[in-house]
Amino acid sequence: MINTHYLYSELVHRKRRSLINLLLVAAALAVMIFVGQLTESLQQAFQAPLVDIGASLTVQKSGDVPETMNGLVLPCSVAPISNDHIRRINSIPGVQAISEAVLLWDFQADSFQIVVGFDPDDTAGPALLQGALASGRFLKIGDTGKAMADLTWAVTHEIEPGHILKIAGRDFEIIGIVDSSQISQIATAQVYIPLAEAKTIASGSASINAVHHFGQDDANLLFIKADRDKIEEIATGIKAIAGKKTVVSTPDSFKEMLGSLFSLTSRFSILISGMTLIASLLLVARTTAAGVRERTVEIGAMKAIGWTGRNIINQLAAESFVVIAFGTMLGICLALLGAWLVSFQSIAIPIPWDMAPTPHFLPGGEEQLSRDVRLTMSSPIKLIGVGAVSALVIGLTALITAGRAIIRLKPSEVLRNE
Amino acid sequence: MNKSIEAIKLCKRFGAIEPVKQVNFTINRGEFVTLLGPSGSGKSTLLSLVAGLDHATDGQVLLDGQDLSRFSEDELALLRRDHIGFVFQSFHLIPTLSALENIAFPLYPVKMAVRKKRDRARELLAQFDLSDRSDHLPSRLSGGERQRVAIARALVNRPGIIFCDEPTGNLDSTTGKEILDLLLKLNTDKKVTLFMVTHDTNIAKLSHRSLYMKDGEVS
Repeated sequence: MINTHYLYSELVHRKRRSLINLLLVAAALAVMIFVGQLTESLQQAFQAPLVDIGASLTVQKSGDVPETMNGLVLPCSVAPISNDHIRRINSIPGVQAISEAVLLWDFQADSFQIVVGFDPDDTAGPALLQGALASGRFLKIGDTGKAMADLTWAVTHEIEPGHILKIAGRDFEIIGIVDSSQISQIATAQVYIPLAEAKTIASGSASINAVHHFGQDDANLLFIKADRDKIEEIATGIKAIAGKKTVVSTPDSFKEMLGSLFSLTSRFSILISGMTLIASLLLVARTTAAGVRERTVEIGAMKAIGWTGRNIINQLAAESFVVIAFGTMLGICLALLGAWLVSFQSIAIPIPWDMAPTPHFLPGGEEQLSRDVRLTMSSPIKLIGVGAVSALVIGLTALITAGRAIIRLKPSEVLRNE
Repeated sequence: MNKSIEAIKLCKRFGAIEPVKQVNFTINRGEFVTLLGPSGSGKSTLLSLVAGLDHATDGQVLLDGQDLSRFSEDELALLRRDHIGFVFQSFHLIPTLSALENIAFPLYPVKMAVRKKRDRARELLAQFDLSDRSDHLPSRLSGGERQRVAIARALVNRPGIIFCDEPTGNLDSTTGKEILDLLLKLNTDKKVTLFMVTHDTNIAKLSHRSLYMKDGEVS
């Protein structure tokens, strides 16, 4: 039987002890939940560049550097990936869909253009520019001799729908202008053409085939949708199929670009949260034990006048429960506040150089590309759940610690203190 | 006369130390017995054994004929709750509870209507002239008032035996006499058995009988 009046009196008259315990629980829970929240936000941020283009991972292959930059050239970071390899990659467990693309550099006597061939019906890669159409119309299946231009590039070069553009000596009519800045810069170009035509141009190009063998059905950029839990296995499988020179970009690739601190934070978040929980458990256990020690004579007197060990444990457990419950609520509020403040922050996710489409020797080509991602707050219900479970563990620890100390305590202690 | 407390060959050892050695005595119901002896003679240890606060290493304590060595810790607590009252030298009141609440404190874990518990405590509060101190915390009571609250607390469960450990030790002589008079009145009017540890030979003179303890042995 718990005496609520005694419980209230203890908590109110021993304000300092109650407050310290409450703040300890609140701080421990707030740190633990906040670290988890931050890690999850960062994890989501690292996925953003790929999520932008509807992919879970991208595949490229590094190859030889062209001897001269004349005519059509494949950047050294996007060597051909054979059709046979693409088919085998498609059969890796966890791979849901593959969108192929062909990235080309077209060096002409007085100009240069970055060209990407893609399939307008794809669900990943440049096909997602569908929503970024600025004028004209989007490419569709069956289009031949048609192209779209990037908005910034089109403005600079005064190109509008109807303009005829030469790519590898062929005429392409500009039918639409798209704002490439609306998707990740991994899949962007200055000119977009149908995938089949890009493949035909690449496989028929003498300058490309002087360095690589580009087959009619090959591609040099793959956007893969995959089971999120199997990304690491899929990346390993792709490298086993396409060779050591294959570059598979996953959310981890962006994380590594940010340096060791971020990598450590996310890799060891469970460890950090676990250590915080353990530290809080130890602190609560220590404070509870100190509380019991502080009340040794009082507990001795309680036992002497007829309170059983169970009566005392129930009473002290109720006190701990109230403190932990309020501490948990405060901790969750602090964590939510922290998460809310973090949600105003953005993080610049750097794009690895081999994923940037612009040659480094052109103006702006050496600039580090990045994608600004606003950190998001995950579901508060999840946070409250984590907080409640942690509080339960903390509460049980406090109860066990107090219980053991109380059971060990003899009622004759009270006479020893006379 | 009925035996209230009986100690038979009672021993307590803590390693090589033996503060209570082969102690035998009997206290009858309604008797007032004092236990005298110098500091460190084992008085408090003996009190904790006969009051069921600790188990003896050897020998027996019979309380109203019940062998305490057969009782578990919790059973001893329940026995103390129902049959025994304690008055300590340092009062040992709960500092966060008022005088009234301190008196009712032994009844908190008892299944009894809250109103009944409060009524019993109020009755004792009035009996000990403490009604105007009902809501005061122990820190706001004088030494004599605290000890009166402690005695009222010892009586709230209507015990047959009261154990007192130097009940006047922390009080001035006038207040000490008041407290002693209260205890004597309980013994005389309500026939409560009193077993009191004291240094004071003047108190011993007021008791029915005195036991003297030295080096763990009672004579």
